Amino acid sequence: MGSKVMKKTIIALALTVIASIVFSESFIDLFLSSSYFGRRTVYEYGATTKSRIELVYRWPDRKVVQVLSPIPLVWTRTGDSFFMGSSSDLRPSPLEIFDLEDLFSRELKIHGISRIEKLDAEKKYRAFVESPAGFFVAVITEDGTPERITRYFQNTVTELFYEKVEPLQDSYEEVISRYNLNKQRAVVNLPDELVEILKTMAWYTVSRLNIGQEQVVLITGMHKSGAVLKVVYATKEVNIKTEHNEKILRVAGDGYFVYVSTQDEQVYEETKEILNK
Amino acid sequence: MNEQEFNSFFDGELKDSDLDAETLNEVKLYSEAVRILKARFEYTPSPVSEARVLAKLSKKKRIFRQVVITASAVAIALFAVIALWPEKPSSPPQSERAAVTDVFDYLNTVRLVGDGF
Repeated sequence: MGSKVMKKTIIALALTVIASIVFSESFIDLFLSSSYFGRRTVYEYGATTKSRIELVYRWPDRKVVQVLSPIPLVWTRTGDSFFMGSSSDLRPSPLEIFDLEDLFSRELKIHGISRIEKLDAEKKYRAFVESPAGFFVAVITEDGTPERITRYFQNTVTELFYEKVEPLQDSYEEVISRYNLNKQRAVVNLPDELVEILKTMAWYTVSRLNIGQEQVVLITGMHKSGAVLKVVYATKEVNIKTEHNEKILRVAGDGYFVYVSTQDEQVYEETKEILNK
Repeated sequence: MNEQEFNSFFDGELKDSDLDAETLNEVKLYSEAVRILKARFEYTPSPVSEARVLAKLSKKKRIFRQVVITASAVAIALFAVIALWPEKPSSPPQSERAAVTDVFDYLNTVRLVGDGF
């Protein structure tokens, strides 16, 4: 008698789990494949701080974001191409631009969901994704509409709140035709070496300073491995002072110089390989 | 010579007989010189001589004009070469390099609108 009850309980539990997985997979699939227009707010606090208010047109592999605050700006992604600028002058961006939703979707596809919580009576789910890029928590309705995405990465928390989301009927071509896309001239002529180095960084801060008489850009950030990386961009050769155990790499390009320094031997070798390509 | 008598003679105030021998001789010499000078002034060269002289002058003018034109052409050509000679850039043009300010602004903007890589 006891074993029969046990069997029924196990079967019921298994069915519940399977149903839950099937159901949860469906809202994730809906989220990844949906097209929508929304107004949203982004807050970041901790090691770095920032906030944004923006409108987003989102298709599964394309996106147009119109930033309203703190500066009016438009950026778009279509396939592997990125454009940025004003609505009347959108130009190719040398660097990739990913918002929190892009990063969550990417890490979700790579690492999967580590945990799902059903928010009872609200027809919503809370999905957790753990990855080297951060710990993500997303609140998504059962029809795949995102409500909130939060990322915890080291000492920084980034939160994305959707204030209004509605299905998007317009095609990407229809929306982008409202902007003036100039594919010929990039936003800035960024050296390839700098682009490749920045791709290896999880985050960075930028500052301007003088080394001798020369003004340079100092990029201080964290390599995806967690190591600290410092990059200096200058249009003339400058004398970089290194700290203890810090190794430096130098690239002399056509009218520019890039210096990369790190204390991490592995990151140093990886960066050296990138620069030698 | 008595200059006062000499000038008074040509002013018509004195006659030949009023002059002393020396002044009279000077008057004769002067009159002869004036006559010769007048003859020279009134001389007209022959057509052959005139044509030869004019030809010489014309040739000189033509040579002078050619020298001036040649010198001007050389000066213009030299100026054009100096002005239009492509300067070898000592450093790449500004358009080939991204200015520090542009890189700073761009990276800050990407950091603002993007949430990571």
